[in-house]
Amino acid sequence: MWFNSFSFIAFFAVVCVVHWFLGHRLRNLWLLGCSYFFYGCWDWRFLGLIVFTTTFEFVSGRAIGASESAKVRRRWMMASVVVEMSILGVFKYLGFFVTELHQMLRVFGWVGEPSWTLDILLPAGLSFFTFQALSYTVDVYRGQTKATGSFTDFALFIAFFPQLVAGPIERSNHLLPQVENPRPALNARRFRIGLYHVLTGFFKKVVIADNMAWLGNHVFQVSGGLGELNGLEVLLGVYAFAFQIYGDFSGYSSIAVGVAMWLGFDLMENFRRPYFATSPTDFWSRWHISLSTWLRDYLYIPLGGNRMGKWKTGRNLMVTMLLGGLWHGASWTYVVWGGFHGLWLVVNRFVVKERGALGGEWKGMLGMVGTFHLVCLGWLFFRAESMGQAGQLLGLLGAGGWVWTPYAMTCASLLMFFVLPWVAYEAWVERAGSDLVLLEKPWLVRACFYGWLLLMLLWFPPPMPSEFIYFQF
Amino acid sequence: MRSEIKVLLFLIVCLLAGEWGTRWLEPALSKDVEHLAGLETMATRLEPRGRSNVLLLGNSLTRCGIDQGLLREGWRLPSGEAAQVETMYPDASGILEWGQGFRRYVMETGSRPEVVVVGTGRVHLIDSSEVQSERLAAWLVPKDERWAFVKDQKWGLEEAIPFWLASWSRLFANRERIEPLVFYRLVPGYEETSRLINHERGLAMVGRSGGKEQGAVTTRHLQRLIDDVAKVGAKLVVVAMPVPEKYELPREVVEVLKANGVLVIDGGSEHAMEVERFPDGYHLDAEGARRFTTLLIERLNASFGDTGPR
Repeated sequence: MWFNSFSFIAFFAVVCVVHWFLGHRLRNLWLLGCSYFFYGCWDWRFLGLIVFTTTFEFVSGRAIGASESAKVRRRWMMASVVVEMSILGVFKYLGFFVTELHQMLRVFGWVGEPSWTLDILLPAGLSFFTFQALSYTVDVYRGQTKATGSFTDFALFIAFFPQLVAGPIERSNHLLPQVENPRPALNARRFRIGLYHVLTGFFKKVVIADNMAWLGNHVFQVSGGLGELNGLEVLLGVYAFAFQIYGDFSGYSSIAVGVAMWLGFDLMENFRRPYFATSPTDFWSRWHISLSTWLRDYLYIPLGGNRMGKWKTGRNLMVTMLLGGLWHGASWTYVVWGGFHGLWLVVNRFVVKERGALGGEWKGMLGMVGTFHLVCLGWLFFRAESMGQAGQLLGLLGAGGWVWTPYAMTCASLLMFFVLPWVAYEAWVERAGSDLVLLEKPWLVRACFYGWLLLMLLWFPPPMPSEFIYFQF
Repeated sequence: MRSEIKVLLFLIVCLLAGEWGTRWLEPALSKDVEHLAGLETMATRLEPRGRSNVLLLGNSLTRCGIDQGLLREGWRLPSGEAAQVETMYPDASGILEWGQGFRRYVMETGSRPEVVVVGTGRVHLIDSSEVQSERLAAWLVPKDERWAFVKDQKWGLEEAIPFWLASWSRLFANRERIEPLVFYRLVPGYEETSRLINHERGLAMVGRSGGKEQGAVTTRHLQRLIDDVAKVGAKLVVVAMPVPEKYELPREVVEVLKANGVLVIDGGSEHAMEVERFPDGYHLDAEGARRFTTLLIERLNASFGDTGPR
């Protein structure tokens, strides 16, 4: 049940209407049932996995909260880490590591051709809900969150359907209190903010991401081989993918925030105009914020953060980003993508920042253009089918032969048609310095803006609907 | 809340204006919509007036592959009269669309063609899981059969909701027509690049099915059309249209046609054309259409000379 499906709209209408007729406790129970139904629509077999994770973390949290002994508390916390990492390891990484190990042993001639393949089905949203569950136990251990006594509330915190399969990865001290306590009624402000998020989310997903998808796919899945492409086509294809992944993921997050808002919840913002970032640090404070802050709080800082000198800070950045890359999937392209961002953060921290650079307006503009292009370079690795393909595409980019082919002309035109107006809108928001500046404008301005979104949604649907990219993570 | 109500009312007014504008401009949206919008008038021309009426059913293969003028001139029915050929060939349609269109514009209107000629490619007569529910709702399924149709299709919400929206709203039904209208005219290179879309779509379909066959071939809609054609007392002819590669109709289709005594004219293998006659790689050019229609007329005249339309 995709967010951009008629089934979801019908499902949400029923959920919302029934929800508003119930009292607080029954609402939680209703939302939990609906969340499990929502997840069961993907694959009911993995519901057991969510229930297991929920039960284990609930018990761990209670045990940590109830114990005075540091040793016992630490044991439960470690058990929680081991269990969640094992689940991730088995479902997400086992196949990859077994294959890679086999390849390595083959190189040494110790094993022959495999007569089997390890093909493990990946549960939807596994990386999101395991991270969310794990952060709860760690927060209880750190004393930042009080262990909850209600299993229903905790289960809803883990499985709340708007953010269950693709985030934002919520924190226990932010979402859990909203589950436990009565939530605000749907008033004008909440309706307005929810409408803004839902409409812009649908626009980013359906109009921007899905219309960019087939343009980007052409470069990365060209049937006649990469030799058919020229450098300009590769560049434009990577731009198309950059806006596809942004529209896809931030669109999903916006819809999640909007529908949660109508149910009385405030989810965290996951994106803040990332392509206006002027440095890698700035980029990571705007892109997938819930993951980057999770990695900061539960990995980078426990490793020592920036408190242990240059070399260790650099090491911590690299480890964090490499694991962040691996979080996205079991593939070397993700690892290289993470490593690229880690290296870039290190260079930015110790070379660019210390030497200083251009000042004023120019710094901002150059920083923005440079950061965007380096982010695109990262996306090339991220999207490539293999490291070999990434290398070939990089070679094509550098080889010249930049000719305006029909594909290049179409790609450039459609980027201007679909993406440029949205970038102009974001530039206006960025300049205003307020995420919801549109909502402060007169109703007619909002209405015209929504009218444009709606007509674009109606009249410019993608030739091929695409699945949400981040569901596979 | 008052300003939000104004916003919502504004959006509703926008949608109503869009609905009105779409209805007004509908025939200009595409040649296909123009053709679909003309089907009711076509049906009135098929009403029995003592002349020999022929309904040509198909898609773009038939539109490009049969020279209608030549067919009108050359096909003499046993009564000695020239065939009055009317057409129903929506783009990218198949047996489901043809069957529903036949029910709506022929059976419901009391039109009585004497011969129904169905032009098909290799796969258009077998039941397909790819259904264009919006077009069916807006143009083809008879209005009072919509509930029964949805029930018969065993659709989930994902197919049923757009079907009902399209049956109420022309803005929704035609929403995919605007993009090609704008892009084909304004975006340089779009025509060539749009061929990539179909290619990518083909790859995606193969990827989804894992390259495996899509299960057993069924011919439920074909049998239904055969029965409906018999109900109005017309004779059915199936013409396998030429495409660049030779093909044969699926065995299941041939069995159904044979069991029902349907005349089959095989342009898929017997009257195949050379590749040069397909400039876009799929449809016949004018010369190819002329040559194929000449062959078709010979076969039709020979067959109807023997049996005559019922």
